[in-house]
Amino acid sequence: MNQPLIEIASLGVKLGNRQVLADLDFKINEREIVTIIGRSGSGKSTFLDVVMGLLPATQGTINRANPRLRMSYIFQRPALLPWRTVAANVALPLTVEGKDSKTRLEEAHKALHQVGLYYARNLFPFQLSGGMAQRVAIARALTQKPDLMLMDEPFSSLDPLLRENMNINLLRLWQRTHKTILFVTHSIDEAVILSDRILILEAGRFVYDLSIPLKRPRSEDMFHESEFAETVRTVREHLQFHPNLPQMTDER
Amino acid sequence: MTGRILHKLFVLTLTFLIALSVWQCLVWIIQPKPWLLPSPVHVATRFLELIRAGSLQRHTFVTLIEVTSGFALGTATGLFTGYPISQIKLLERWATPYLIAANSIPIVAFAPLLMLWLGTGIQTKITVAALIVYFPVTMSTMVGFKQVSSIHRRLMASLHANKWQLFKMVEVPTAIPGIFAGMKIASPLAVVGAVVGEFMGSGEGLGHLIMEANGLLDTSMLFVSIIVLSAMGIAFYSIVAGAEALLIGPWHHERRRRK
Repeated sequence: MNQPLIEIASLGVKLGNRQVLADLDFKINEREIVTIIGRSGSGKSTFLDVVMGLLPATQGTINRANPRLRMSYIFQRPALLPWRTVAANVALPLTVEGKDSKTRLEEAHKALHQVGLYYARNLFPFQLSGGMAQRVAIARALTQKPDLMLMDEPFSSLDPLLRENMNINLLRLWQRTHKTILFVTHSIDEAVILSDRILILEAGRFVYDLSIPLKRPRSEDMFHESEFAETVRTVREHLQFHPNLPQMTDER
Repeated sequence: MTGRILHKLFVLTLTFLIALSVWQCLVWIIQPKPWLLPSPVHVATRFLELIRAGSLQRHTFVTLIEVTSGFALGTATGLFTGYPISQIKLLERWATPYLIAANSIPIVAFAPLLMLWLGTGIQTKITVAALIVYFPVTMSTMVGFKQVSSIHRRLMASLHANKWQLFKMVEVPTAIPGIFAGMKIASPLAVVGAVVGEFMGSGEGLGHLIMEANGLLDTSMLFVSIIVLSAMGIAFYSIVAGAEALLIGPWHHERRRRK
């Protein structure tokens, strides 16, 4: 049985006068991929910011399995520094940590091998495609040797085919590293193919916690299986028919 | 890169030669008195005389010192004040109207005041040059540091970078292209500032040479001074542009090319 990496109880966040998150209980176990899904403005990114420590919680408790728990954050955009080469971007966390140049280079090259971009190490970000840039951002996160990776809609700006490809790449990476991942997305397909559990966030509250029955390892073939389609439908139903959500009507 | 520089030099030389030819033709056709419009040949002869006498080098050197020192002082002050103004909203709101007001007053109006306070020595010319350089550098520094994107700030925060690391690794590299844009505008202005200072009262420098030529109706010497000043302005601009190319690297050139 894997241990919980983070346990959160009764978490609340208020930004100004607005209660963004309220009364949230959350747990993520080691080696687990948990996806938070919800509409825009439901508080998904705020939740990640709080877990990362970028935003303070106004109420509740956050217990980490290890007080020195290492976390990395992958943003919606790759956030690469345009004046640094790919390798230097990947090594950025190590530069901040004050590691020597030899270690930085070795670790950056290792991470680039993991995402299949070693050949692009001397390129600049303007020479990369959207998918490559996001893989560089993943490599940068890997150099932090994180216990938990937080991913905030990392593939949302990519076209659907590339997005599917990136999902498969991430699954392969997970298969090799078994990193714990807390993922945020709008895409139900993406959430289903990646996750062990899906949490539906609505108006700052988790309204459903759904376990995904798909077996691991997962591959691109699963997108065409009936079990996948069935799970996607279940998640969609939970998203659409939650009583808190405004329903579409024909009223004019 | 070398090819592009050679091409620029070729174009510059070609246009200069065309301008000289047009000028020489005009003199042949109109035949004005030499004190009204000397021919390029006259100017070149006067140039050689002044070189032989050593006075052109002496005056150029003085102006060069004033321009360099004024540019360095104005740039340093602009950088050191532009950064805090860009970071502290209250300071920005307070300082910007004064900066704009100060910049809208012609530098010629300040020069006599500075003369009164600092005397007629080199320090006055350096101050005038520094003042004229200060505004564009300060404004470009402010704008440059404001370009730092929020995603890069969030990235550095997620890496637990301290303020110095954020400054060194993100803020400065982001601001550098903007700062250089201001410095490129300011570099020829430093020449203007130094010459304005010399006009107000000076025993040496190219501004003084212009005043002397004007008094003696030595129009050839006037042209020599103007040409040397122009060359100085171009050289200054080129040095700053060269430093920019060296410091900023290929990513910025690509960004500019795409724009």
